[in-house]
Amino acid sequence: MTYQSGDIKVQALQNIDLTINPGEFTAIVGPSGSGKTTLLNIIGGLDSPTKGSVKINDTYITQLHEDELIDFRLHNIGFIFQSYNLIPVLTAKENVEFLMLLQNREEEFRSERTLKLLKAVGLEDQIYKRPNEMSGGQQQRVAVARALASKPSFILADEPTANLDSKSSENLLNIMQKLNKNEKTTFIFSTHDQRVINKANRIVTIEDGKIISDTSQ
Amino acid sequence: MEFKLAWRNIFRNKRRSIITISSIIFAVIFSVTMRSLQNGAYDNMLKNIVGNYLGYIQIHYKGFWKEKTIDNSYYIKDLDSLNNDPTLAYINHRVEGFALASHEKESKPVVILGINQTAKSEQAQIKNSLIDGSFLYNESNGILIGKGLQKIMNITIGDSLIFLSQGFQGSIASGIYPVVGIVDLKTPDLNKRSVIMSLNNAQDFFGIYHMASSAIIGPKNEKWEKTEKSISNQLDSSKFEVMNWQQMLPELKQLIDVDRAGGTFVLIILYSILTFSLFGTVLMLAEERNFEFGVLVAIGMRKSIITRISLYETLIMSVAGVILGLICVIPVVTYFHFFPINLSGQMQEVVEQFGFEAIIPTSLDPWISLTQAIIVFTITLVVNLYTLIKIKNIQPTKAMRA
Repeated sequence: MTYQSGDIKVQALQNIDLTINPGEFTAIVGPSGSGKTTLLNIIGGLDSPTKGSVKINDTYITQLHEDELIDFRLHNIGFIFQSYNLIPVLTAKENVEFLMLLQNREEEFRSERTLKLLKAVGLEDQIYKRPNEMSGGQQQRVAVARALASKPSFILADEPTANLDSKSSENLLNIMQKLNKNEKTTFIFSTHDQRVINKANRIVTIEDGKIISDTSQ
Repeated sequence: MEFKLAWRNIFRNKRRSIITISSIIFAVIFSVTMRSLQNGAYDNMLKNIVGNYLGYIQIHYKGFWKEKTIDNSYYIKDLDSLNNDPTLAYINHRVEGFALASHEKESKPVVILGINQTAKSEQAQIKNSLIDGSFLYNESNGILIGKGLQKIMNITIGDSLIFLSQGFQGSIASGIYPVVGIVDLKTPDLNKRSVIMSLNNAQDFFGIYHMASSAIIGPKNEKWEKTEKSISNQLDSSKFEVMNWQQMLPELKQLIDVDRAGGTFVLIILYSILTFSLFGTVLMLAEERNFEFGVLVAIGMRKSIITRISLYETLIMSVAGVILGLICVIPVVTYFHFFPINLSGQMQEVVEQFGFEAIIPTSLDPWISLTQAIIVFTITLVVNLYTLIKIKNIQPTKAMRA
């Protein structure tokens, strides 16, 4: 995988061969610029590799057209971003419900699941609040609920605790871990945060675009 | 959900939305007012000169328009066949000739207009113009004169005017006629030189029995072009000339065309200002939302849905702007239609010199509001194309990195 930086072509990832198994709680770690985010983007179909392929379940997502890829992400991948990225004009409930609406789910199913997920992340009393009325930690928990709403095969989280204080980070990690254990949701996240790394059951370390270690704990 | 998102996005940055809607409201108000004033002024000119006096179409003996002598008159029965034309509402034969009018020590050249005083359309027009005295009665040899002529010659109702002119084929025409009424023909020039008498009296005066100099054609509807075509096809072009008001008054047509072009130019400037002002808003909006669009695509929203949401936003704001603009402008236009702007001072003199009434009423033609609303609405939609292109080309990772 290469990208252009000014006039120079930079090889962001090379010879990556990585298989993530269902139910894993995997941390991608490495220094800044090592290629963690690029790897997550490629797994999530947000970027295309210049060479190679990505297979999720039985689908080679690198061969999908734009709309097919968007639909694939909608049904198979949940995203948690570093800066939450909730829709500012929607309430917590609407933000979580949003992806299910795009999936054309029944209203009853949507309401039930939204409340269940918001309860799971401890925000059942904040459902009518908009993002600007919530703290960073609360927004990130809504983002987790949103990521899970579409019943994805796995969740990609890019530095999910980077903007949170230690208490909120701890709280979020506990929720993610609980969801991983109880609902068998696969999590793949990039992080610098040692507390997050400690919670992971698999750690993939990247440096200069290459996997230098892949350990389970 | 799409509509809800669009609706809430409008309230996200209230100040910007208000500015956008205000610029649309302003554009609608300005363009509709301007066009209504222009068209109202044209309509008034046409109504005064064409509607009340000249008619939209006239038929003459060939050559009459170039050489308006009484010798170029036609036999009325030669046009009887036109009475069966379904595109015609009426034909009014008139006699039009020049004479020297005298009253006491005053003499003045005038135009004598002989009208069929029993025809409803002539009655309606002239009776509406009557400001003093009475209308022309059958068998009476009374005459009506313009209010300008009355003032110049110091005439009161009941006074008589003596006319001297050249009649048919070189005969001498003369006669004395009592003034029974004063008319305001709404055009200063016409008011200063017009004398109206019955068709029979005019035929007697000029010695053109059973003849007339012009036939005023009333079209069945506003599309006089169709009537003109139908008449032209029926008449012998070597004997008759069929003329529309644009041919009879080319200066008026030219004046309207030039003025309309000027108005169009001003409107183009207005539309350009609106386009750039809206484009600025759209540009800011698209740049600001770029990140958000990237997130939406990343989490699984198709670009077509984002496009629709963006379109709804634009539609809501432009529809609101256009409707509010129309709500503001319609009462104003209606008011100035019934209470026209009266020109005064130099402006009044200039306008009257051209023979027009010095007032500017607005036009109530709904087509003006509709056209301007559609144009402003279309500009808003076209400007929004930028956002649509931006959405189409969005790449989530790039957008989220920005």
